[in-house]
Amino acid sequence: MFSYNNKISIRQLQALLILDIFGTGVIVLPRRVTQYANQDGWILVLLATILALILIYIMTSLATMFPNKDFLEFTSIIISKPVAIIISLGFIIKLILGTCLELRFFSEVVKQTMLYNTPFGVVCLIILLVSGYAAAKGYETRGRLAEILIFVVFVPLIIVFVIAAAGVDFTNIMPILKTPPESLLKGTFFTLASFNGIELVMLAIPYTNNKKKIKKNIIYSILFTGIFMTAMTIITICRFGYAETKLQMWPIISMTDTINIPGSFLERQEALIMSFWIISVFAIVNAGLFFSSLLAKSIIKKGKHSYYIIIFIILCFLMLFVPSDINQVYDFINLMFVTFGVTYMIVIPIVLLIIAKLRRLGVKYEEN
Amino acid sequence: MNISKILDENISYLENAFLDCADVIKRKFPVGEENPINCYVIYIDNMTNKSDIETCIMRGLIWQLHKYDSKLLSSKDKIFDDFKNSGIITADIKEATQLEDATLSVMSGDTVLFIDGVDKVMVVSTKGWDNRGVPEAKTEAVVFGSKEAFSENIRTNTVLIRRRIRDVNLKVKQLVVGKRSKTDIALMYLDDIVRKEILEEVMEKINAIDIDAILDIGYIEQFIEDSDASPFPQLETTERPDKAASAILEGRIAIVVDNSPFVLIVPSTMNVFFQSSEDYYQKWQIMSFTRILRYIAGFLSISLPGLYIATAVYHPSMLPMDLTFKIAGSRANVPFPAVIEILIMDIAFELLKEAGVRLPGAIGSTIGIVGGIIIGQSAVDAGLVSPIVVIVIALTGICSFTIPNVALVSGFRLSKYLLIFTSACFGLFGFWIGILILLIHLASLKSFGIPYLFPFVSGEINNFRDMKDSIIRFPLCKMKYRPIFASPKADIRFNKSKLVNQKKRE
Amino acid sequence: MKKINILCLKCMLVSSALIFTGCWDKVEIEDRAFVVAIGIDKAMDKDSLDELEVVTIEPSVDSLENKSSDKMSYSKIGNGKTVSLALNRIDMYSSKRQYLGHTKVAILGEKILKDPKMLSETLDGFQRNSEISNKLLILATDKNIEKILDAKIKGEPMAGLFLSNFYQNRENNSGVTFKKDLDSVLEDTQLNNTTIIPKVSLEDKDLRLGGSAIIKDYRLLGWLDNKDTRGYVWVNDNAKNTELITKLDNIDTTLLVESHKKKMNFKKLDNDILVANIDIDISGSIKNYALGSKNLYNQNNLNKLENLYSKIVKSEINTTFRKLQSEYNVDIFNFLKTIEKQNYDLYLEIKDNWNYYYNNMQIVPNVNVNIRNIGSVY
Repeated sequence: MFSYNNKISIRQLQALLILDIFGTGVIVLPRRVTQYANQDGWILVLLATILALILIYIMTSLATMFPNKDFLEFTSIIISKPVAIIISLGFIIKLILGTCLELRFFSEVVKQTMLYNTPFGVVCLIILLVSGYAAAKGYETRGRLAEILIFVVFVPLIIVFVIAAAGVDFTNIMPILKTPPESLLKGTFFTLASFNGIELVMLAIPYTNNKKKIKKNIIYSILFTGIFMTAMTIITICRFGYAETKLQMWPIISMTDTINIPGSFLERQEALIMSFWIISVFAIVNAGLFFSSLLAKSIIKKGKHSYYIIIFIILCFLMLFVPSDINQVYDFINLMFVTFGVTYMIVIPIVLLIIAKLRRLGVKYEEN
Repeated sequence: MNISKILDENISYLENAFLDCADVIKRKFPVGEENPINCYVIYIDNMTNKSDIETCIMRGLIWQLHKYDSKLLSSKDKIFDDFKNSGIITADIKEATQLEDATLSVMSGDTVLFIDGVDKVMVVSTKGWDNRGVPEAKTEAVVFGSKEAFSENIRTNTVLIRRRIRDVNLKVKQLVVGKRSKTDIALMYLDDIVRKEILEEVMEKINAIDIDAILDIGYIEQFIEDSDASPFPQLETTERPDKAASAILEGRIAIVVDNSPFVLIVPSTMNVFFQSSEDYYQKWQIMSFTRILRYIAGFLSISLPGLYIATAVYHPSMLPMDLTFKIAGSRANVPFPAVIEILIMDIAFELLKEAGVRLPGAIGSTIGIVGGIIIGQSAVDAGLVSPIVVIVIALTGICSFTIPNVALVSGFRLSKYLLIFTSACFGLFGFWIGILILLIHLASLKSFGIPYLFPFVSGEINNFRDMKDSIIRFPLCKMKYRPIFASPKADIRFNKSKLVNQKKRE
Repeated sequence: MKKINILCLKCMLVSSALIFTGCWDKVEIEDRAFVVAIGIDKAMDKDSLDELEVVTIEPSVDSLENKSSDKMSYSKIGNGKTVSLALNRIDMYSSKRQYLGHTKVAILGEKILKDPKMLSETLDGFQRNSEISNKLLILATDKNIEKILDAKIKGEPMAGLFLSNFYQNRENNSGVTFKKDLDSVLEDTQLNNTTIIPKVSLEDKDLRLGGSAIIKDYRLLGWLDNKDTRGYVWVNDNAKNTELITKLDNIDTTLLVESHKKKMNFKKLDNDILVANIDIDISGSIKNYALGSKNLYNQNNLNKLENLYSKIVKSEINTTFRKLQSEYNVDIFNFLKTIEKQNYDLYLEIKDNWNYYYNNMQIVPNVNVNIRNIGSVY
């Protein structure tokens, strides 16, 4: 029944995906979209969601064509093995760099809002160790954990935003659709960086049960995330007006400071609401460590899973000290998106899918 | 070693084996007036029912077989059957051919009868020793419900369960574990609804135990549980027969161990530890409220001291201003930092709890009240601790008492220290990291293949049916299916269509 | 295998020893100096020209321990070129660590309001500080801030607490004052560089909230008195619990406003004059009439009263608007922003010449008063 076979169920995959995508960019999301499109920023989020849905559909189709083969195996079937190894290595680099930057960014926020004097290395080391502990326990543990953590993350957020929505001036979002289409398109492209994490679907599908219903459910989960982020953006823009939203470093956190939860005796819930962010970052770092060690293990067939995790923790920790301040972190994140992100989210899945369809590989054709 | 046909050889073996055992009673006596046959009876004093021995064995052999003449028999083999059929007046007779089995039976309270010239012995069941009968439930008392509890005698326990399940499919599979204690262990389960793979796993694990003695059920629990590195219990122990019976009816296996008044129930998820038998005997509204209260109490018993430290020391802006000022004012003259204060009061509370358990009866409860009130009050007056800390610790303690299962509470008590530690170092960030570590640990635990956090995690395996009995308890008429523990082929337990609809009557 | 496990364990122990010996941020709660209110003004003594004077109010030990005494709070003063420097100087000479997380009120003195550089630096200092909450109340005053913060108010322990409780408990404040926190001040200044801050002053050792200060481009333009502030509140804020008084057949009748709704829309006439139609719906109940007089409860009387009240409100709004338009030339009502939201094309037309349009603008307040009930006496 529940055997130790390292497979997770679809609901757990959905939960993992939502947690992964959500934490990546949502704190700065309102600021970035208002920088491109002023009060129409929320439209950018919607458009980026649609784009992400298309991409995920491509990726899911690609992965479900080879049901029981993991990423390295099916890429080496489509293209030859050396190219597949290069792609996997690139993937590992992308994951580690992404994790490292995300962690650095997170520690800057924590230092500003919660712990002023603690050196950021300590904060990052703790998150790395805890994520490493979770990653070493296996995929099933991650799945079960995600099912519980999703409530811990979303329930406070929903409460905060519903209360905030009640007292907000919705006219701040008008006039609608007055921004020129070029900046809309450009903004959509850069907002796609907030959906970083959808490419992990290609790695995760081989380990899922019940492959038939995957496409539908994954689309639901991306839709849910996208709509939730749009709602958060709308409420934030309405609360602060687009001018001030552009000014705030981390609009979502400032947002939680402005509301008064009726009936609760807490005055400033900032620190409590940070829980959602700590857990999201944990989910991202965990995914990064886990999948990179999985890929590394599939390239080099020897050694236990946990050894790779330790190596990657040490690597990540050493790379944390490279950016010197938060502006450099932002620059690096943008650079990463434009290079690795675009490649792995857009280019590689499309190319692989086209080649696979042309060469008539995959399950559907094998059955014939 | 085989039993020899010569009685004296057997007697000398037994004398040797039971040398310096003053409580072993032996008697050699002749049966039959003419041409008597020597018999030898051996039993342990006070472990057997003396009147049974006298009426069933002695009277039958000495008096009824008074006229028995062995010379009239065609062969010596008939002696055994004759004695068995007309000499011994009881229904429970077994035979043995090995001396070790004979000595084991003697030490289990049976009487063994040796007959000269026969290489078999008769083992007559005459068990009867002093025991507590059926005691009253002390650790799991409920207000509305049966107050019977298990006792140390394995037969009493199996009968208590049998009375509640009169089904032919209720099997009692008996094993013997322990090199020197040779303790009887009975596995009770319903054959058609238990999951066969779990049953096999349990039997495999129990048979693999190679230890001197099994003194109590705790030994078995620690050997067969999935992860003994975790402070959380993965098997449920109970002293109530109705709980054991309902568990068996859900498809689980009850392990009854001789000399232990507790019964082990396998497999168990965390949800099970929050359920008490009273939950099903009363109305669902009030019991759902009680369940929710228990879950909240469970969370508070882990997190309250950690939260206090995190907010008072790292983030005082979270509390309302009046509360912050009160805490600051009451702590103005306290010499210790907040963490040490919490730890002192916590250790003091744990010491009080332990002391209360060890002391007998009336003194125990008095110490609890005296210790709590007077010591707490004096400590506050002396300025050693602030009153808020006393309240926090007392509330934590009370919350840990609301959880029905003591074993789970021990897990929580230890996690509390983890959270205090992380909160003391990193404030709320540390608090959430501590909760994450705890959740990771719980999510990785399994109890015989079923995830520990079951209905909240992987719940879709059986369409979230188990959620009906977790945080809130649905009315009985909605709980149509058995939980995950039962085999999927036999999962309907309640047929609603036959229930008379109360509303329709009007 | 075993050696690697032991090695891992040793590494973990060492690293956990390193991590957990820190507790870098631990500050015991009794070692914090909680600042309840801040007052900021320009320093007046000779040796600190061009410097700010910051007054912080902290609760005394007696107040923390809940014993009643004369000294419930004490003030500390520090000078510095910017707010953060001045706060630091106050903190330098104290044994406890200053904590701004519970600061409720900030009072700005008149001199600093007149200095645009210092005002913008001060507001920035507040916003950038992560300890100070965005819900910090901002008040303006033309009296000495130290006297205001030190005022002993009957029935209240501290002035700072009095002010924060005032806005917390009284949902809407007689129309003569309104709530302005740091968040909305910053929002206003982002929109069009103007903002309005409520005024607090001292009368006979008692604090009075009423009136407001008009700020444009971070400079104080002038003070509005109670009546003019009420005109502002009718249009832009919520005027619940205000009382209106008028004479019906020579009897003073008071109306208590219970609900107040407003809407605006704009039109541009051919001669480049903007007309703003402000629709205000007020409903309330009669609180005071005169016993023994004619019955109040007939349609005629009620209509008369409604008209009278409506006229009063209209005149207040008009007076305020004219004052703002002609004397100060500043758009406190945020008309431009409302036009941008409602009618984008019109906005594009007029935004470059807003000053001109504002100067020639006309408002048409349509006030509709509805008397809902007249109490329990006929």
